[in-house]
Amino acid sequence: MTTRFILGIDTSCDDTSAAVVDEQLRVRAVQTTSQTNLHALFGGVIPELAARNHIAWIFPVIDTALKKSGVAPADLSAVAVTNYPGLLGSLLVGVGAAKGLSIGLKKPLIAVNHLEAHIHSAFLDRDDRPTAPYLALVVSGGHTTLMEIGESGPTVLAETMDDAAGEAYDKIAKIAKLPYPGGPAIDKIAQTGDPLRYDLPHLMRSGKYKDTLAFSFSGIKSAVKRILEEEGDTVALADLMACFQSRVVELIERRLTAAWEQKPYTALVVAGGVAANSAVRRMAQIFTDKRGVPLYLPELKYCQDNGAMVAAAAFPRLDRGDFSPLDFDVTATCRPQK
Amino acid sequence: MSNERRQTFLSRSEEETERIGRELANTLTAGTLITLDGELGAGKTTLAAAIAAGRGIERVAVQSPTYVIMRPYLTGNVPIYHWDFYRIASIDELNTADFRELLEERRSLFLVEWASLFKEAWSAFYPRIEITLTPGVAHESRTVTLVYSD
Repeated sequence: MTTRFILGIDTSCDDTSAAVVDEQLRVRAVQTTSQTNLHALFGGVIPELAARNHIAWIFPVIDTALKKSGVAPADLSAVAVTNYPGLLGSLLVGVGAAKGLSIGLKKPLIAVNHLEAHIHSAFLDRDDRPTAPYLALVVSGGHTTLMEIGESGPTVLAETMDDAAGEAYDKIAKIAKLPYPGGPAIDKIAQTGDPLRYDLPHLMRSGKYKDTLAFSFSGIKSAVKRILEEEGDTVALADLMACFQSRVVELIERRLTAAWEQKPYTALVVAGGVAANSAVRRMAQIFTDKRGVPLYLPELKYCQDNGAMVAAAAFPRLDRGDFSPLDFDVTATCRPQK
Repeated sequence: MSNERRQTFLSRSEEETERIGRELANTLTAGTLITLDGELGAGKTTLAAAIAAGRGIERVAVQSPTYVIMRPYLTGNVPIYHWDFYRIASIDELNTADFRELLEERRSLFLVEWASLFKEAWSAFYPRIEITLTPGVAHESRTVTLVYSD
């Protein structure tokens, strides 16, 4: 039997990425062009800039991924692409390229939900898979979504009520004058800090939503700002960031615990850019060790947006013959359905 | 020419900010623009969510629109479009996202965070309420200033 390959494309935010993945979910090649340096100049992603740069890079990126993989385009089984959710202009670039390739190569097209793609990033280059029902948390700059993955697919259990976790890191980094993206910058400095030196508010430990599964990260911004203003140059930034990071991780752990109390799951997946955070990874490891269930964490290189996870999420659809029509649309949460 | 009216509230907690939002929500008619300005952490999303909650949108359905630019809430008693100009780089991006087109339909409530970054997108639009949140001296306190223009 010949091995099947899928070309996966992701242009949902600021990275242009393509990858070739085989049916065992081994990554044969992945090529990603990040615009992080460009956006760092502005302290965040600039949507129109992102879309324009995707147009310049999409074909070189696809070409390079295919060449590096050694897989001939004719030997692909399908072309997969993220079509939801993300930045509208950016999504359109990847979807347009995927549709063109699908027509030109006469290969089926598979439109993939970005959150499902992130979940599948945890299965790349790994042999075992979780069995349903398992719990999945996608934490990134744009999402904080807790999902139950059952036999028939994902059910959203809870989301953030304001900032996404990664967005909170970016905004706190901006307030603290740390570089963009905020996640790695804060994680690095926090590792040398004492989280007990400051007493930032605990996230969602009180209030109406304390006993729900919902997330909220915005309540801590003004507290960080106040301390920075009060202490000026004398602030112990590493300690302050360590405290902030511990509050974020504490809320995530409390929500995972609450979800687990409602239903004992067979496994935990934590994916997305914030899954690269050292404290989040450590917490997730301890959480699953305690409960004796497997933990699925993507390798660091697959935490960010990438084409490989899109291809991985498309394999179950290829198995079912569940393809997307050529006229499928992109959906950003930024535009109402007309 | 427009008529201007100014109102100032002192909020001592997040709960009080929410109450201000809910009470304001009941007075709003479809076709009103509400701008929300104030530094990071001032409470813009909290107030926007409270206004949406006052019109029948579940609090947990509201999120920061920073990443996606706009979030529509269409399940309440009036359509609400929740915008954020924080990451907008040029007025062209707002045009691409149908900002003015949707605003001129006058069928919805427009909540716009960081609106002052692109005043030219809405400075000729009435009726509107310009809200500014300023952190106060006391912990968690905020001054909430509303400027009504018809």
